[in-house]
Amino acid sequence: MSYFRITLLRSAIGLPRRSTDVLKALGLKKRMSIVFHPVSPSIAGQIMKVKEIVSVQEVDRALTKQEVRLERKPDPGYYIEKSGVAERNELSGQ
Amino acid sequence: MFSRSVLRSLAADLRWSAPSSISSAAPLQQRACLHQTALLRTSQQETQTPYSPLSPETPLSATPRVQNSQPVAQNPPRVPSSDSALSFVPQTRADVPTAKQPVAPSFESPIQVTKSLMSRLPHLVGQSPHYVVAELHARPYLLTEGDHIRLPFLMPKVKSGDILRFNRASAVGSRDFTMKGSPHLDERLFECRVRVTGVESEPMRIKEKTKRRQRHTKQARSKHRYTIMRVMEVRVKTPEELLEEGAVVIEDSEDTPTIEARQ
Repeated sequence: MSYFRITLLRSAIGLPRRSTDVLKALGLKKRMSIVFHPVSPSIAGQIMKVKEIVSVQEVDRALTKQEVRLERKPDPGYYIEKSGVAERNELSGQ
Repeated sequence: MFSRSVLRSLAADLRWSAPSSISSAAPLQQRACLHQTALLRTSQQETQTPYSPLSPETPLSATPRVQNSQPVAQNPPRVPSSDSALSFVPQTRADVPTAKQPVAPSFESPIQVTKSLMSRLPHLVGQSPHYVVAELHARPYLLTEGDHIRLPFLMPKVKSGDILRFNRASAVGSRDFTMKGSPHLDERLFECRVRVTGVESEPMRIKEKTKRRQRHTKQARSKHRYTIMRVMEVRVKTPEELLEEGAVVIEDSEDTPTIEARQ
């Protein structure tokens, strides 16, 4: 089952009430918010109503909220090789 | 203790079942039974488990609910393990895969080095000192040996005296040569060790917060703390070392790091 991954790229401020309501129905509340919906004619029609302000991808499965968040999280770039306590114990053991 | 827990669970069951029942007499009847919960419970137990009528009291808390309540889903705490890494789906903020945590990496495949990199690596290795553009949380830090760094944050779970390895770098170089990653270098090509020397703090800042039409002012104080550290070692591994560690030499391609000489 495939899903639409829909991102709201432009704000709905100043748009007609119908467009704002479609976004609300899709669950898009603010810019850059991402929602997943199963591919169906009704969802496709909703996307067509707001196609100018969203970007759509077709994906295999719906990601969880945490997975979407983890996409943005960078690697820490470090790790603790040796703690100071362990090194002191090594030195005192010699 | 035991009877209280039984009572509580039964009361919860009643609360669940009460709205579903159409007749108003049924919940009342059940509530009347509440006083003899232990009796009710044991009788239900016996009806459910006829094979052990003599010892109905022992597994009471472990038996499934007798009334028509929703099943209580008890999820064990999620721990991302290596064997279930493929099926593991992060759900909450606590579920962070090990790749995004500051833990030592484990490698499955040996490092792949191109021929041109191997031929040029001795030039870079021979010319010290080296610098590294290490990335911590996607912020680049240009480091050479002996540098003192004050991080713009307090690094969690480190103490002074700890030795850290910076394993994410976008470039390693010397005066005339630079090895650039695309976008990052393999962490087995270089070694960058850093020792945590302590924690520094900024002077206390006091910001006056005022609201309109009120004579009261609030003082917001802040005093941030920062981790300071010293770079112990920035080293590029020699081709011999790489081969000893099991590096595989492959043909040149686009995505591999290359060494560029200074223009």
